[in-house]
Amino acid sequence: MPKYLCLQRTLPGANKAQTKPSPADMQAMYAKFNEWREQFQTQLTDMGGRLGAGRLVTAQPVPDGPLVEIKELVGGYMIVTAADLDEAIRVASGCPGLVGPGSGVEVIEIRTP
Amino acid sequence: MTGPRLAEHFFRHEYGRLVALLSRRVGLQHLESVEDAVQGALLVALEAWSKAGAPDNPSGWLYRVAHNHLIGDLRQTARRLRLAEQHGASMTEAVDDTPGIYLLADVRDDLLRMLFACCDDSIPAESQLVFALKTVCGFDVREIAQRLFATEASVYKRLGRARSRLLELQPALDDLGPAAIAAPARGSGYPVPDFYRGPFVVACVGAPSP
Repeated sequence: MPKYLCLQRTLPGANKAQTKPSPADMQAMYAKFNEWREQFQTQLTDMGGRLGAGRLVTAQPVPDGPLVEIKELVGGYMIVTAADLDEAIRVASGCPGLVGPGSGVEVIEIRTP
Repeated sequence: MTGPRLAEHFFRHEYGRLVALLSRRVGLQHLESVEDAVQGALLVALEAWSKAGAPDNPSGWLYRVAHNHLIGDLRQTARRLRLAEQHGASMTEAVDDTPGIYLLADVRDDLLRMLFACCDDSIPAESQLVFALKTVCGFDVREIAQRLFATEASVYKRLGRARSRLLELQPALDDLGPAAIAAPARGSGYPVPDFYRGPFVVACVGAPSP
């Protein structure tokens, strides 16, 4: 079965001043997330994670100027195994908090020969 | 893959328990740092556990993380205040010395102490309630406002009143009493309650002269 790369994208219009979740909210989030993870256990190949600091390595010197770093566009990744793109999208969009205000997910097929 | 299931209201109960426990360790004057540290630890746990499942001892895990957050925060504050040598150092050392494990009875005791602190007579009654719901029960301002049919702004105000009263009072919640007396530098700005001094004075006076 083909694998799909899911990238969490921070979208413009993200609510910066998001209120912190209360302990009760966290409990609900944890339960929802667990439910989702159990539902798609076989398809979630790699839970991935958040992206941290990185550096661009090139042969030529990096040109000056404001460059867009991948990290600013992509918050995190995970890898999903699914029969087709639609199924992968179904799995990814079920993840609590991934598709919502200020956040979206890009699902991309990983081509292997 | 999935660790042990978390009990109902786990996060909320842990919040109250940890706030009480850590406040007792470092003193109520650092309540705000304590609350931030606990909130931060719960968020870290939420992310880590939803990926890898909860650890075998979730409470211990949370205590460790919250404790480290708090120490980091207090050190930073101490440095900023340029009191690191006396005030901050003695304070964080005292905290570091506390054992990582604790008895169950100890925890109940801490919660009870916290509850008594919340219910101090000099705090207005409606502030007492809000403050206890926040620090002991782990509800946030929005949830308290909903339950008390009050606006969030008024809940904030009541909470603020309770906190400022507590700062003035400095109830003896922490275990650092004798150390505080021995090192007056630590008490800069914090009056040592008289009932702390009591037994200490008796011990000094009562000791047989050489």
